[in-house]
Formats: sequence, structure tokens, C-alpha cells
Amino acid sequence: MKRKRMLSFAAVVAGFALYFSLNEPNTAYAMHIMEGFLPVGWAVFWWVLFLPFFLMGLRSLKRLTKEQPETKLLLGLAGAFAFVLSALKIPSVTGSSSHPTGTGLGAVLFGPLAMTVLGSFVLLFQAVLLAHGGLTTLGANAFSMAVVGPFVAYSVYRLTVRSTGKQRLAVFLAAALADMATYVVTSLQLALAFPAASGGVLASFAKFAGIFAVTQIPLAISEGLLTVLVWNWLMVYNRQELNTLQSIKRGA
Amino acid sequence: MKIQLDTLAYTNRLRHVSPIQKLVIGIIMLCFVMVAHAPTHIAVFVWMSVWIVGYAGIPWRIYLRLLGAISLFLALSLPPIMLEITARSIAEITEQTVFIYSFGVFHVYIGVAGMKKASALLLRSLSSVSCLYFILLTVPFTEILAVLRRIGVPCMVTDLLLVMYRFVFVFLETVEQLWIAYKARGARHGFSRKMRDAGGLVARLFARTVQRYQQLSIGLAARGFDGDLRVVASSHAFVSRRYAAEAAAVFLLLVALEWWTGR
Repeated sequence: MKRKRMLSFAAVVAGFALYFSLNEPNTAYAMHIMEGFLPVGWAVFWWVLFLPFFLMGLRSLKRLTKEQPETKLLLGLAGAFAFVLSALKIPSVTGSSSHPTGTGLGAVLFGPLAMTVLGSFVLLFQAVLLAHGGLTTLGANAFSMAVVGPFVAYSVYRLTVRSTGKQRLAVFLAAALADMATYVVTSLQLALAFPAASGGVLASFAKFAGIFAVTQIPLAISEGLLTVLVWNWLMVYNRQELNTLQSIKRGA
Repeated sequence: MKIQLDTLAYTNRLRHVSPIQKLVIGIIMLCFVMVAHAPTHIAVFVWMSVWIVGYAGIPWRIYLRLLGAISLFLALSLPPIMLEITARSIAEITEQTVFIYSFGVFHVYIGVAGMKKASALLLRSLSSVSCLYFILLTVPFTEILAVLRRIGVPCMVTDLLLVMYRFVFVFLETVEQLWIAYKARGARHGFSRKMRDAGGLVARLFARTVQRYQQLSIGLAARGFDGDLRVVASSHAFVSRRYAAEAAAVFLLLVALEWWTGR
């Protein structure tokens, strides 16, 4: 009996080890809910929740481009930059590598409203060019990654700068917490769509959040560190380029 | 740097069929899959694969590889849905279980109901992915944009997407070049060194982005840019009667199948 128990314990450990080692390279896009994964009701629900934010962002961008037409080009290029950033591989604190989401850096550089629009477009491109994520689940993914992420990042950044005056700490917290917020919202979206048989939505949320935590917390820390390094580089060498962005940020 | 899905969208055999026709078929099937049930899911998956491999002429190896990548992702997403954790005693777990493991007061188990839920989800995801692939592999992004413009999506959206699409490939190539340059100077090992390199790379990419913007805005201003990007959409697309007939006929059959099995 004891032997059997040992064996089953070993099997469970091996199962988890295999699961997480396979999962690690995919962590990048683990926060994308794939096509067809959400039941139709929830897919529509998240679309409806996401659209007002998107339209609000779009309206603020329209106002900006009316004053200065070339801002439109800058926004388009910023979007392409955000897409390529999310396709990069960065080293992770766990030793493997993964993709950054770029929401933290984007929100600090371009402002949260602009990042909502650009982030949604990045997700659309990921769905259409790379088949990561999907069209029916775009609403849910955009809500967690392009609405909650940037707004958390920007408010954390502003609050930290105002209360401590430390730029680097603010940038680190903004990027790391944006990732964490995205991951919590995605877990919530999955928990709502797939409540556990015993314990309902709360138990299910604990389950999803617990499993994702293993890969997402190291990822959030790595992205925070990367964003600080990028920030340092930009502050030292690229002041002039950063000033160009003023035309976008004024509107946000 | 090439993105394979994008290349295939421009070179497949359905390239000259009207993008509206292909999008209508793909999107209607996608919506249909969302409300349909298991037997219909399998039928949709098979039919969409016939479109992709048979009619669009995408090599089956490539299609299988694309599906393989998605299946791995899907396989990793399913265990969290199947696993149930409870602190109640074993006797209180009323449903049938296929696997149970206890540590302390907690029991981790997979129930028959959870397995059923997961397999239904697997089928729905796979069949909707096949519809998504049909759109991605047969309709180039520029044609999706042209359709969006025609149906009245604000020009702010289509213009931004146009500029993004144009520069995504430029920047992917830039990153590749920057990365080669870093490596040529001796890319470093160890976590903090690697991180520093990656940070430098992103900062350089950002500087290039702003430079590109300055070049582009000067270039466009010289040509009288006033806020609208006007592009000529010349296409030789035609609406194929044969495909329309097949799509309509099979769709009706699928609806009948769904009605029959879904009762």
C-alpha cells in the first residue's frame, strides 16, 4: 500500500514537472485565450465590455490626429514597435526565455488610452499573422491585455512617481504589475467561463491563478527588469526621440 | 524575416477568389461553430481542412504543423479545466472519477463530467481554429483591410492598421540585424548580461522606430499628406459560383446535422 502511494506520488510529481516544462516556452502566449475556447456567451460579454474602452481610445486619438496629421504615422509605427516587442525573446529569471507583453513600456511611453488602441491592434495582428489568440476571443484578450494592463501600468507609474519620486522603481512596478493584472484578469475570465464542479467560480479562480502563477510571476519580474533596462537606455541616449512622443501623450 | 501564414495567404490557389466571399464563408462558419455541438464540430473541421488543403492548395505538411502547434497549446490548457480540488472527504465526491490523489485534507481528482467538458471544448477549439486558419491562409491582410474600408470601418482604424502592417516586417528585419550585430560583438552569457543586451536591443529598436517615423513623415509631407492615407485597391478578384454553391449546400447540410444531433 505504502509502495503504491509512493508510486502515485512520483507519478503526480512527474506529471506536474512535465506539464510545467512543456508550458514554459509557451508562457509567452499563455495569457492569450485561444480561438473557440470561450463559450459564446462569455465571448460576446467580453467583446461588449471591451468596445467602449476601445472607442474612447479611438476618439482621443482622432482628436490628436486632427491637430497634427503626422501623429497618425507615429501611432502606426508605435503599434508596429509594440508588436515586434511582443515577438522578441527575453531571458526569464527561471533560466528559459519568453516573450514580453510590452504593455507596461507602451503605457508609460504612449499613455494608457493610446496603448488600449495599439494593444488591441497588436493582439489582432498576433491572431491574424501568428494564429496566437483568436477572433472570437479577441474581446476577452484585449480586455485583459490592452485595457486592464495599460491602465494598471499607468496608474501605478503615476502613483509611484508622485509618492516616492523614483523613476526606475515606478517603471519596474508599472511593467511587473501590468503583467500580474493581466494574468489575474485572464484567470478570472477562465474561472467565470469554467466554474469548478466543487466550489464554483472561486475554486476555479484559485486553480487557474495557482497554475499560471508558476510561470507568470517570474515572467512579470523579468519583464519589469527588462523595462527598467530599456528605460535607462532611453534616458541616457534617446532623450530627443522621447520628446517626439509628446504629441501622443498630451492627449492621454 | 518572413511570417509563414502571411506568405501563404498571398500564394495560395484561392488568391483570386473575392476576399469578401472567403471572409463571409470563414466568419459564418466561425460563428456557427460557436453555437454548434460535437458531431457538427468534427464535420466543420473536416470540411474546412478540405478547403485549406484541397482547394487552397496549402501543403498538408504545413497545415499539420500549424495544427500541431495549436494542439500542443490546447493540450496544455485542458488539464486545469479537468482537475478539481476539494477539501471535503472522499465520500462526499459524488461524481464518477477517473483519477484521484489525496494529500492531507485535499483531494485532487478528475471527474467523468470534467473529461466530457474538456473533450467538448477540445473539439470546439479545433474546429474554430480550422475556420480561423481558413481565413488566415487564404485572405491576405491587405485585402482584409480593403474589405474593412468598404464596410465603413473608421479610416483611423484602417490607416493605423495599414501603417502597422507595413512596418511590422521592416522592424522584424531590423531586430534580426540588430541581434546579429550584438552577437557579432560577442553576445554575453548569464542572466543579467543577456537581460542587458535585450534591454539595449529594445532601446535601439525604439530609436529606429522614431527615425523611421521622421523619414516617413517627411516623405509623405513632400507628397502632400493631409491626414488620409489613400491607397489604390486594384484587384482581379472574382466571386466563384462553384465555391458559393458548395458553401451554401454544405452549410445547409451542416445546419441539418446540427438540428438532428443537437435535439
